[in-house]
Amino acid sequence: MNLALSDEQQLFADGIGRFLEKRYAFEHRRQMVAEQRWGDPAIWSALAELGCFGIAVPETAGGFGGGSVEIGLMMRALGRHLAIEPVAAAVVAGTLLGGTEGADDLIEALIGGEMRLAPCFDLVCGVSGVSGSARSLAGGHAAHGLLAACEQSLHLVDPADVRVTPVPLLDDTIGVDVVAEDAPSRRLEVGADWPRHRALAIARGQLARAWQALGVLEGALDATTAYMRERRQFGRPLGAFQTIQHRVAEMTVAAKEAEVAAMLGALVLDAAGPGADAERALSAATGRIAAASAIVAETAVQLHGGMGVSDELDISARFRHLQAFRFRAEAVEQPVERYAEAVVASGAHHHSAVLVEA
Amino acid sequence: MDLVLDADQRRFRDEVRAFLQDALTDGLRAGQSRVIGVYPEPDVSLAWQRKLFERGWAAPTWPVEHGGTGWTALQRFIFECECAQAGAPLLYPIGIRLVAPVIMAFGSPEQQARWLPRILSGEDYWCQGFSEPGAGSDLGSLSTRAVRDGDEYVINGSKMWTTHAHHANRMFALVRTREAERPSDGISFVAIDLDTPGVEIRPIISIGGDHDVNQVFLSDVRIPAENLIGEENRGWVYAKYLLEFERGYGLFSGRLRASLRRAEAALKAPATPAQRRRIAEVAMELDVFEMLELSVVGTLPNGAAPGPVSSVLKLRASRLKQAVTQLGVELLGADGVRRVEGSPGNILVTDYLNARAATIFGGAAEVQLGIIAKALGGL
Repeated sequence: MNLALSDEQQLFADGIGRFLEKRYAFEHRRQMVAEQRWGDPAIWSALAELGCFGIAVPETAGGFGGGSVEIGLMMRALGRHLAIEPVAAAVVAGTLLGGTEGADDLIEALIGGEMRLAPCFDLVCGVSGVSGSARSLAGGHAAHGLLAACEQSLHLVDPADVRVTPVPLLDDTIGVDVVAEDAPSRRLEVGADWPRHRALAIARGQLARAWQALGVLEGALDATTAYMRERRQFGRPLGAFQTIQHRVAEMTVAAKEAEVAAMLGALVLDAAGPGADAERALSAATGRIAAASAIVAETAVQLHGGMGVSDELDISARFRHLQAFRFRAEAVEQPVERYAEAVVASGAHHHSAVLVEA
Repeated sequence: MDLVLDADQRRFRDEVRAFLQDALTDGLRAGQSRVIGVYPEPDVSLAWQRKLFERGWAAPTWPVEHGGTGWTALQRFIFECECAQAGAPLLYPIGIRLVAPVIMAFGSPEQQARWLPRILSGEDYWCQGFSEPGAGSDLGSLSTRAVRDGDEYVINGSKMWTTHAHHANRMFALVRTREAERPSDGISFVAIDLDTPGVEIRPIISIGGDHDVNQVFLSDVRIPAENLIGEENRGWVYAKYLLEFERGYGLFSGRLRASLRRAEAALKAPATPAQRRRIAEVAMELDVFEMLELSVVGTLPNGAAPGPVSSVLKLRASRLKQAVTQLGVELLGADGVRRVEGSPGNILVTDYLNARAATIFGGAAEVQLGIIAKALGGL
């Protein structure tokens, strides 16, 4: 057990952080959102050069073989800068492709940033083609291909062969609604360990969104403490009032809890692989980051006063992202229900969450 | 970064498990399972401390030269987790974990030789004389006075909420030795033998109905000047050092999990889906708190103070204690109003009531929030 970041992990995180600090201006983001764009192709290429799309692909498949911690650090930096580009979708896609044979062309294009893929777990892969529907699919608007990750197989579907309707989402990204009826597809070869790869991809998607929310809420906390030091009312800085201090402290505690929750999810997933332990850790992480998101988002807007409810600062965008994370998590991942039925029902919660057997 | 225990760490864990298997009796387990206050009664905790002492494990937080284990923080985490999991009694921490670090850091070699071995063996049982009737959260305004008279100090005043003073033979206390512009500047840190004439201990009955805390009256109590720890008028510095250990050095997650198990064990029927949901909410908080402890305390160098993040730990631990004990009463349903002496239900009800103190002692939650805003939020 080792709880310090390795030098490589630190360098990777610092590199992405520095790049976004320099290149990801909020004004530019505002313009992209107003024009309902998926993101910035130049940023996408630069993220590819930084290694962001190969991190989830095993080295044996031509990727950089990163684990949950690398994925988490990357998503946290993207969240801090409120990046709208669908990097979480690329993480899931990279993990799925890592379980295939003979898809080297796709992997290379994914890692190089030439091909954006939107993974989808809701479609059915039948003998006559891919069918079914998905709502609010992340990354779909930007995608050159849909990856239908079915229980037994993986299919690449050309978006031109299905009905795709863009939908603006609460977090300022563009999702799509997909309807497929016996769509043609390229069937990718998967091995006997496909169910494990698919489960890992689902887990990493959940993990990526959680770490991204962490970055968004840490940014909201920092912006709020800075504003409380600067903004003066009644002849003194707002931060001099005890009622403000206590609310900022509650945000600080929530952000700390969110940080260790994200670590718990990442470290257990890396230690134990997809399975019961990881599901427990990810449910706890998602549930507690959702709770922290509510505290941080609502307090950040409240303490910013009029500026918090305007679109002048990035606070309102952070609020929207964090609430979107919560609503989606509570409806789709249902962390409390899952924990109750999988962990409490089995009694696993009577044992340590961190001292897991590898 | 990874969570996987390496071969040495696994060997250590197995060693701890083997020891617990051997040394932990049903009687000791039963003693811990009946705890309704902050600490077990001394007959339980000292019996366990003696076993640990014989094994050389009574002071996991101490360096080897003072008789500690010299363990890494991670070993201590594993040890505490295994002990709590096995139902071992909680060690009384006031001596080992609170005053001992102050004696080691600021006490003279003579004081270290006089007190530390007796803390380790359990021969001395210390209590903490900080709060006073007029000084709770505003501890710096305390008014118990110590006046130098030759090679003695004469102490007058009273200490409040003194946990286990009725079991203790020594007290460390903050006393005023000088009037200063800033009240906290004139405070000294002293040790008082409780059999000294002029010490009177009166019980205070808690919200749960039991006797855990006391008021200690000090009337012309004469202590030798060599019982001053560190320098005169520097006591506030030592107190703040101690409070970091009090707030951020315990490992509570294993104990909280044991409380959760105890609460569920009182259920008469399998938990309903709604009850499982409530248990899940608390257990999820607990899982994340365990990671918080591991990441903060589990990475500290042995004996190092955790710093202001200790206030985050204190706040989370105290709120979780309340959440777990409240869940215990909720799971009792309508039986949560019954107070039948010695029944499992009444243990949960009493623990719930007494847990209200968790967000008050050791610096109230509001004090912790103030520290967090200033030290971590820069306000």
